[in-house]
Amino acid sequence: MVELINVNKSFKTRKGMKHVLKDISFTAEPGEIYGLLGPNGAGKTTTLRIIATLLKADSGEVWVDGLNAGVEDRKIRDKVGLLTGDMKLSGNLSPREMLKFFADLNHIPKEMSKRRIEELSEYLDMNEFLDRSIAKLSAGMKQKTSIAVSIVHDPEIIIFDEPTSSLDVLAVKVVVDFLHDASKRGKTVLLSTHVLSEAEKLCTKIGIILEGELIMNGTKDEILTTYESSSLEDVFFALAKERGLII
Amino acid sequence: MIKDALIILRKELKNILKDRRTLIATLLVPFLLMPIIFTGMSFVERKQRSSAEDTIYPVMIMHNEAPEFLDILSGKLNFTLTKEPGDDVLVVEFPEGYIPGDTAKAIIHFNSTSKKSSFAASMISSALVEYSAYLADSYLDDYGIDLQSIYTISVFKLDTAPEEAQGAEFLLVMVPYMILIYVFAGAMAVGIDATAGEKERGSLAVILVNQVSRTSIAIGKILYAVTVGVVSSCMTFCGFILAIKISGGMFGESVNLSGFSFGSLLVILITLVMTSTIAASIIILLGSLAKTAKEASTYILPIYFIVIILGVLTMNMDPSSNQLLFLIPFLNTVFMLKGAIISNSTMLQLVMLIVSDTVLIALLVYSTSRLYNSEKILNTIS
Repeated sequence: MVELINVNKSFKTRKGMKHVLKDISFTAEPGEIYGLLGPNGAGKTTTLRIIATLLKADSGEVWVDGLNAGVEDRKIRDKVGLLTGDMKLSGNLSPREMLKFFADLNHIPKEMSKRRIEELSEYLDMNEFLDRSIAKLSAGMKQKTSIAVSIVHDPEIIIFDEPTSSLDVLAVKVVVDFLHDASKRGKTVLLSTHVLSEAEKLCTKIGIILEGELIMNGTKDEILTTYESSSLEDVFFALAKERGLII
Repeated sequence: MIKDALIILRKELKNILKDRRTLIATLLVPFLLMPIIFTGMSFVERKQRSSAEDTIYPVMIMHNEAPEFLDILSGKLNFTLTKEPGDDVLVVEFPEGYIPGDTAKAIIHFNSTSKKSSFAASMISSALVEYSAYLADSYLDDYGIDLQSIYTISVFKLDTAPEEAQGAEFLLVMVPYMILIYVFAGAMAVGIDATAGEKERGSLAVILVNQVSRTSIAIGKILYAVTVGVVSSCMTFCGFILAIKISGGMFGESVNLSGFSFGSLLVILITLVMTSTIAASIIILLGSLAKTAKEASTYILPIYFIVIILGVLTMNMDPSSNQLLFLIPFLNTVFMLKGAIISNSTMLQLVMLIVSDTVLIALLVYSTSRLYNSEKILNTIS
């Protein structure tokens, strides 16, 4: 489970301090796919990076599977698998070698990592290209490898930051299928996206974040009922209009 | 920490070992570049010389038809006598009414833009000196004096430099300079790829979320760049030795490279490792500050140029008068390599180099580690 309580974060910029997260609070339970929706620069990536211990919150509390972020970061990293949309695997290593590298980074014993690589290869249907150079793989194959890399240590929390950005339809399906399956397996999935249709289909819970504020948080039905709307897109644009982000 | 750093090093090396193009650029090119250049230069030089020697030159001799001069000249140059001047004709002009034995000024007309004409002019000049000595000898003979007895002092230069250093001026100037360049060039491509390149590929954030400390990640990347830098500079050095061996007399007949002592090789290796570590640490630090590989190159290039300029400035500098120069990184590399080549380096100089370089490396590694442990490493992600 992931729980954020009144999380604030600011960055130093040339123009002074920029308050990028303002009292963010939400909870994502095991088996849920929690989608953070918002335009570019809204604070989605910063939120996910704080949960993944890449950044520290200025104030507030972040609990990841009962562990306090900022205090027990290394233990949290053992529970978290991160994948970013801009991750482009390249180079001459094979998926097997890449998985072995990430298993080593996670201090997984040799025998166990071997077993885990076989498991993942089977699960994500990677056997055919497991020993081929990554540079020679298709976009879909690379995406499967990226997913495998992020979950090689079998994390309980899966954080995908804009995982489908710049992917073709087939590669998007790989991600969507995996996330569905992960939630069925009881994993807590956190996902950021600005593709509203994707979030509507995929997420069980949604948080809409605008200008660093979580202005809507709940299940899809709760949100649609509150705004008496039939689509998430309409709700999103209504909220953006309320805040003067669109005319 | 080192165990974790080695995970990064192993992965990067595995990647580079599978990349044939990078391997060629890192290992083969530094090794073969100098031998190819030297062999090419040596070949062209020999070809030009033999072509100049084999050519038959049209020569016009004015106001002197003495057969003795022609005999001497024919021993030095293939020529045919001509009566008509022309563009390719070399003219040896004695004063009008010249009689052998007179005091006179002989003028050689040649074309300095032509290599062959210059060669022929130097041969004619040499023949004239010999002819002059012949005339003087004949003149003195009438008085029963031997020309050799007039020269009371004969000069002979005895080189007191160590045997291995004799004729190594070219090496002393070029080798440290080229190695300094290759230490940087070798580490730069891989260092930028492992830092700014990693950011561009979006994989840095994923690498940071695991059980390995960020300091280990920073050290692993530095070790990788150091390894490539050391290998690249060692290959450059070996390439130089091979180049001198195969092109032999081109840089002086007396260049003695029959072998470096174990001590000299050890000093060279220590110097290369220390210098490569500094270069790699600078590259990794600046590469980590940059958002893209292009930006990283912009940060690193000025440092690279400073190092090249340092190399040029120190080409003919003698550090023996001020030992404190061995405390200045990169400058001490040049001096230490020069000293090692001629077996003239001292333990004190080596210790000074190790201490000063280690202090700088520690500062750079500390700064890189701080950067990796701060949020700045992510804020710079594009």
